[in-house]
Amino acid sequence: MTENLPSLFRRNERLTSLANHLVVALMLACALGVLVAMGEYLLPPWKGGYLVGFCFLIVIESMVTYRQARQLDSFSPELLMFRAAELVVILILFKLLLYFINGVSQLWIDIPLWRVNFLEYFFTYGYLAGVVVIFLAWSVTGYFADYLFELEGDERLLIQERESWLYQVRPAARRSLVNLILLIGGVIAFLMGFLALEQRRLGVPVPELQRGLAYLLGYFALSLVLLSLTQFAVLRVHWSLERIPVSPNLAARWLAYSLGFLLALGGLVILLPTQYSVGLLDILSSLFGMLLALLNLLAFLITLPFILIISLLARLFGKPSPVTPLTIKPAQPPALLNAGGASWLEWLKSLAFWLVFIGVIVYAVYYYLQQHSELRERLRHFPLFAALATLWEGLWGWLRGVNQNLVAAVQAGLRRLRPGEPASATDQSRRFVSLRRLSPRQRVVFFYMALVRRGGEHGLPRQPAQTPYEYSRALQDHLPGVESDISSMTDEFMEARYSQHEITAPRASLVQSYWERIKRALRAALKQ
Amino acid sequence: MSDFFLPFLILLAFVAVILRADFVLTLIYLFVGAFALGRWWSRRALRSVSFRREFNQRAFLGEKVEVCLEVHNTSWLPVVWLELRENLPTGLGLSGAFERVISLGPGARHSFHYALEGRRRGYYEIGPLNLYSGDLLGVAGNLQLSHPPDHLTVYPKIIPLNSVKLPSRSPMGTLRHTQPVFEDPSRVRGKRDYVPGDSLRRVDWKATAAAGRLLVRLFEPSIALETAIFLNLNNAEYDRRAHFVATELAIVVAASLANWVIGQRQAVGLLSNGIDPLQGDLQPQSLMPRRGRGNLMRILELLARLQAGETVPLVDLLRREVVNLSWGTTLLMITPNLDEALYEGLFQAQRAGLDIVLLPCGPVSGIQVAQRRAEYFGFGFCQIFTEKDLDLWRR
Repeated sequence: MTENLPSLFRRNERLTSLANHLVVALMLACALGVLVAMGEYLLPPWKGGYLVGFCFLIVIESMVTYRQARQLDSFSPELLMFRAAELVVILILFKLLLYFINGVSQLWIDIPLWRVNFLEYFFTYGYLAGVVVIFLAWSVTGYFADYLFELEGDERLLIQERESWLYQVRPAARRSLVNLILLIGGVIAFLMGFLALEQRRLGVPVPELQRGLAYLLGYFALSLVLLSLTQFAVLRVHWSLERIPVSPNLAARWLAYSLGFLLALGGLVILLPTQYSVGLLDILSSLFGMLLALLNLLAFLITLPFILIISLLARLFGKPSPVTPLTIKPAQPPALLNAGGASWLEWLKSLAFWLVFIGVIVYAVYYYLQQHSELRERLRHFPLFAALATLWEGLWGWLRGVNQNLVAAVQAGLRRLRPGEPASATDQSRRFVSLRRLSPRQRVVFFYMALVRRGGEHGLPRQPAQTPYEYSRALQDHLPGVESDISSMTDEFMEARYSQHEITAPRASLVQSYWERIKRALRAALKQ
Repeated sequence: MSDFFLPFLILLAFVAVILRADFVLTLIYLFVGAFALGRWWSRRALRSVSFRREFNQRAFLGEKVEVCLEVHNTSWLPVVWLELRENLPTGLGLSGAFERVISLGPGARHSFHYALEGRRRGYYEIGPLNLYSGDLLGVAGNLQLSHPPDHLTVYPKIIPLNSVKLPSRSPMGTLRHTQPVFEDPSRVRGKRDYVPGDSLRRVDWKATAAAGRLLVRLFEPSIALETAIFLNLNNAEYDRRAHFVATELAIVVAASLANWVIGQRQAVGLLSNGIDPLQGDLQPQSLMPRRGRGNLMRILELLARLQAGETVPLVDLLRREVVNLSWGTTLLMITPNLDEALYEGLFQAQRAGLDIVLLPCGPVSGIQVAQRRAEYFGFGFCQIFTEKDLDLWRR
């Protein structure tokens, strides 16, 4: 049943490692694409599109050599030599690439000039700008490679961890990786925001913005893929350390599902509105106007029969109607920005936008608070937040209640529509009952049934095989403080239900007082 | 996931509103959508995973039990990863748990097989099966779903016995006997000439007419061996150093004797002060003497489940149950404790018409005194130290 660690670890390793490296390389290429777009906008004659592809290769090279470099001691001469050689080769390759792009003939022109002044003619401004970008990519790759190595581990590291029982905190490494992704993403999004502002200021399309946006979206889409892959890496290491056999095709499926997930997400994002022409306040005032119009209409419909009756009575006496029927015009929603036929469409679009936007914000805050319980607890001490939380809980509880009642009403209606199907006991209990019309015996039974129903709603349901006394004992175990009330109520119920003894009104009132106390205890138990 | 995630989103949201930049809003949708969709997917997919566990729930000692676990994704959403952890008890060959990680496509089924071996008698819990899953991005945290356990009963060891000599005073049974007082009128053995004093009811009139002289029927004596096995599993009455071995030996002896009695087509019952995990209390377990294989299986199942513990003394059980036993029942007392109180209880039982056989299991202090006392009262006595001592009844 248990397999040795290396064989477990090797499963899916190659594919995940390859995918991780590829995604990081593409992400960084996208991020550099944004920088290049920005550079091209700021320095119009400069064209740096080739840098994106070259940086992609640099990132791949850097990640591949990272594992070799790890085997050398930190700050050792070997490591310095290794890195220096790597950099020199990269710089030479970049120089050759520039000559390849600008024309090889330029190389023959420049070679004699290098002998005159090497620094000036070799390190040209264009070359230096490219070198800065490449160095940036190369350095950032180091961070990514570091985090990925920490997440993925290798056989030797895992065996060490298993033997020493000193495990790496991989989720922390993953968090750092996410922070790095967000930091880079934030910077390039800010740059694109700047370009978008420029475009609005100029009033003409900026081609660099479109290209940069494509890179930006690519970066974030790939970052989601990387998050997915790193999650797999964390899980894979966990399974290896726990010696849990993993299905060999899991990595391929994970990758496929990640891509499918991304496509589905892309589809969803495309469908969601990203523009609005009507502001939030305008939308709110329109909605308010509609609500008022609806209320007016309702008032009109309610008063209409009375008005008609009065006018008919007035006709009987041959007098003109003392009341002239009011023609209440429903209030119209306030005029929109564009009064044309398309304005409603715009209005709806804007409504959808604000709904989605506010929903997103609320969900993000809700999710964050769900994840940070300590923050939630701290916020509860602030009166404003506590009041908001109470309001929200009340509103949510009311909405749930309304929902439950609606569902129950619809189900009951459907059951009534289906002939021959007897109504269930639940429907009977939920029917409106006037206590005043019930006899004392029926009231006792009613309160006991209410206890059973409320107990069920609070997670203490009465089992079909439970006798009232057994149920009473079960309730007493969960509701300390009202044991005697539960016991007395059960006794009263047994007497009312199964005996011919007379049940007086004061006894029914006594049972009601038991029930009130039990109800409070049930509520208190729910809050705890 | 990240401490900067919410600030990042809020920043993007404000940038989107102020700049009216569509792309920023698209980014927000991308991230929030990824999180919301991931959470929804993983929760919904895990809820749609159903499971089935199939195995033979009863096994004899040493028998292999194949367990088949089948998980089925009933949803159209795939389950990206699913970690199964089936908790298993020790003593069944596999230690700890059966664990696997798989991915389940839409509507896919996956079966796992593993084998357990009944190495020790017992009532084992197979499971619960814990299913762990999560989303692709790791935002939903690990989700867990538990499925209830099943139970496997491993019967105790049964040693086949051939010639157990147990006393009985129940007439009209199916077992041959030597004492003519237990003659069974339904079992005619032969005929002989009439001698004065023979009951006229014994005269075989047809044979008399044919032979021309008075002939009487001879009947075979027979007994019914209704047996009640009293099994002591009160730890306090066992020697502390050997109580585990001795109680297990006692259970083997009880199972073997019950098997033999049922093999003789006689009624057997089991009364024990051991703890039955199914009952969950310290009440003694009583299966009154009955015939048939079904009763044997019930006894074996109870013996599989019973555990020794701090329970009521055997003599209390004896006093309580002896009144429910019919006259002539043979009591097999499997106990290491042969004290004064027990003898007193047994003597009362003997006076009530029951036959007693003492079967002390494991090390017993003062065994010779106990044996002499048993002989004095006319109780059967057979000490069993190890399973090999049962060879006496295998010849």
